[in-house]
Amino acid sequence: MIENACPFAPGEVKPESIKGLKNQSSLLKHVLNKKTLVLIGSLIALIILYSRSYSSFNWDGSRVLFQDWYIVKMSFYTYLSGMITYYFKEYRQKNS
Amino acid sequence: MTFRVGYLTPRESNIWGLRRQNLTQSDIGRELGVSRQAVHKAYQIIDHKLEQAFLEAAETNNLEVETVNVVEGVMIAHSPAHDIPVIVSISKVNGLKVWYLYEGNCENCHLEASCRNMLEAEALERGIRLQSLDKWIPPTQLAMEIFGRYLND
Repeated sequence: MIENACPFAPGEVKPESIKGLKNQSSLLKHVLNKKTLVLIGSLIALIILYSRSYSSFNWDGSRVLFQDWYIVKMSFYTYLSGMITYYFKEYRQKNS
Repeated sequence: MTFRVGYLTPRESNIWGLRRQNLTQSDIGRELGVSRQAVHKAYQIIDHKLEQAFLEAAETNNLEVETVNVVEGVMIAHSPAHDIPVIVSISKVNGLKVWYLYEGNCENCHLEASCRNMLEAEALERGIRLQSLDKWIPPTQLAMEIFGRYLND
């Protein structure tokens, strides 16, 4: 009765790594897909844009960037708008 | 091109996954918002593609095909070169894999951890619940724990 099974044939030289065994890297690829990168990129761009023009519209000198959950809200709105755009695009592609 | 991207379309892959969960054609149709006839047609395409994939694997690895189970994505074969039984598996998570049934040596293998990860993902996809003790057995035995059940089909 055989109780073992190996992905390599008897006597086969095993490579350093084989494709399909790297679950962690594929997981990373799955997390860092195009959609997430666009969302993260747009969020960073918005934060930089806001920080750069901070002095021009912050007349009373208050640190609004860290008040009223500003960053959290902005992240949420960016994510929401990104998702809406993504699904809208996907819907249009599906129906075209 | 690997099985994961080359053989089945995402929709076909989805249908195949639902079929493995023992859902009926009508259930799958309802789930995906398509007719039962469309699912039936997809079954035929999926079966043909999987058969082709298995035959290609057999040809590439010089195996003699014994049985093919396209629903479970498992082919039982024999390797004349090594004179041992072979199981060829297809899954969404690991693609096409060839398993040689012999006393493999995991003790000195640097791929043990990756092999274990792969098998755990395979079991998860196939809905096979691994026992807590399975974490301590070598991947070669774990592989038989997962694929051995198809040998008696």
